[in-house]
Amino acid sequence: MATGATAFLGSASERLLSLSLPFRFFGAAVVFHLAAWGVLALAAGEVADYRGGGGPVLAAVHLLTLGVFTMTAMGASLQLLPVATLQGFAAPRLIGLIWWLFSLGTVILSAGMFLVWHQAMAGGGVLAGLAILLYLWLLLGNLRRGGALRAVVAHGWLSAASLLGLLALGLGLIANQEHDLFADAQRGAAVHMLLAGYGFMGLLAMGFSYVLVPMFALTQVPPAKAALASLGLAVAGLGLALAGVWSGQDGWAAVGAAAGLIAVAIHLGLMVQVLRQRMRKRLGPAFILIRLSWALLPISLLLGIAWAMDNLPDWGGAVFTLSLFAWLLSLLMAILQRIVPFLASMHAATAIKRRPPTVTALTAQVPLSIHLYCHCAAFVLLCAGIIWPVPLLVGLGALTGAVGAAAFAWFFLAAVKKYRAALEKAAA
Amino acid sequence: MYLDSQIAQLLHDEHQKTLDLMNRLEERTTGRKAKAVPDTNDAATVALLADLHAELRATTGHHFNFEEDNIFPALSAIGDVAIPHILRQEHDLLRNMSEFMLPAVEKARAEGFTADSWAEFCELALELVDRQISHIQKEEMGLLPTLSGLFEDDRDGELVMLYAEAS
Repeated sequence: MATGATAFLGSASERLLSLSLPFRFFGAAVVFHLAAWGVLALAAGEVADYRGGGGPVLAAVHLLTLGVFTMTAMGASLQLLPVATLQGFAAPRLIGLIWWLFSLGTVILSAGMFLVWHQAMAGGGVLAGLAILLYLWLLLGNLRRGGALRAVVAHGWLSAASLLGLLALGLGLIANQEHDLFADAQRGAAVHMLLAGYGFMGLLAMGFSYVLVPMFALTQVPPAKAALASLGLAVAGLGLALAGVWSGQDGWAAVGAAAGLIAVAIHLGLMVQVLRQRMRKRLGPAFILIRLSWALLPISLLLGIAWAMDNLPDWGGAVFTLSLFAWLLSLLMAILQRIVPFLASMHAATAIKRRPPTVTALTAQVPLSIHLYCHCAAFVLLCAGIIWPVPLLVGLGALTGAVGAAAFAWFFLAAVKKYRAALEKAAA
Repeated sequence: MYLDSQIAQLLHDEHQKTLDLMNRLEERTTGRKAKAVPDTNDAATVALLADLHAELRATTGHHFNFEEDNIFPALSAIGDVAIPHILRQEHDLLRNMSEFMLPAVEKARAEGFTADSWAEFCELALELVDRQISHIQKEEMGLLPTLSGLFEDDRDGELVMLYAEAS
């Protein structure tokens, strides 16, 4: 196994952030997850025909992308980046400030989008943007100092570059509502979405998968060369797709997505190889979501190609976007349900000498099962509701998703409660 | 997997054996199979209990003692103190669990299971599986890779001999 993982566990006590730091990001993500489905339920009638612009659909999208995706990515990367870089973060106050700014910014921005209130959008965007810049400063400082797991670090750099680009575009799109900055704001919004989904989140998710999946399955980290080849193709494809969307050259966008598809094939091949070589037989229910996300990633690219080539009916754009979000949400929920009890158990083990709680003891399985079924049903209902189109199905899908999100919140709170109870029992 | 360190490869092979046993134990003590009290004359159950007995009595203890006496001091000598500390703590916990579980395994081998003793055994077995897997996860990712280059070739070979002699 590569030495980066060694560094993470090899000096774990120095590299483990105080549990409250990653957990406040994860806790916020859990709350925003519930809010995103709730707001989507309110906008059920507008989803199928949505073509951009302010309102509840845009608010739901940003509650998901900022509130869940970026919030989880921040919490996870701040805790897990030392795996790849051999460097810990020594800035707990700054991390706390980032959480406050980003949470507040996301709430205000989403409220502004919901109410189509430009000033709130601008204010929330600036707060969230400031938090992102501070996060990037921490992230880049860490990436610059080390790098045992070269492939993960390379993914981190390119993900960070995408985040910077999507932030600039996002703020530009808000400003565009009052001042005409873009010749075609819809294309700008599409580029913003692709940079967020495939650039920032996609590259980060692929990079961390090279550490987390082998760790969960007890196997070797895949070879860096293949992971870097996948990354190279992914970035070239993304660049071409962005240029194509921006300039209206749909053929470029399709070719870019096809290159992305090859990159994904390499990535998924590496993941399959990792699982085949695993020593741990039972992977647990989280891997149902992980495998679902692996199926959704190429599906989203195929839909993207078909949409770019005008081979899909009116619902093409919405279903493509849905598949993109379903891929990322499935993966992140799977990662969260594994790392929340894992981190809690590691922290408990450093504080409790006599029988600290195990990972299984900190994992409430019933809410996770409810979440799994609701998560899958929600996306099926949403997809059906968009294709036919039937707003009632969209509404039902969003409500089912909200039930799943509530179950996930139950799992999270149960883990925190059990962890605290174990500490109190040990102290008594 | 760790061909540049013979001792790392040996410890990895031992982990593989323990994981195989833990996978078997987990399979027998969870889900539908766990609902029925097993017949301790059944060949698979006899083999599982015998392997578990051997693991609890000797194998892990030898593995742990070897690491504590030969590997951890070498790591501490190069300034890596955190990993030996965490792993030593887990060794103690697993030793305690083994001591606690051993009488239950011996009793089951001699007298078989009742519904109550089977339920208690399942609970203990799953905790053992959880802790062993979590421990092996840390050693596989945090300990074995550091052994490449930690020992000179001669010392690496000596450690393999030492491990075999003490087995």
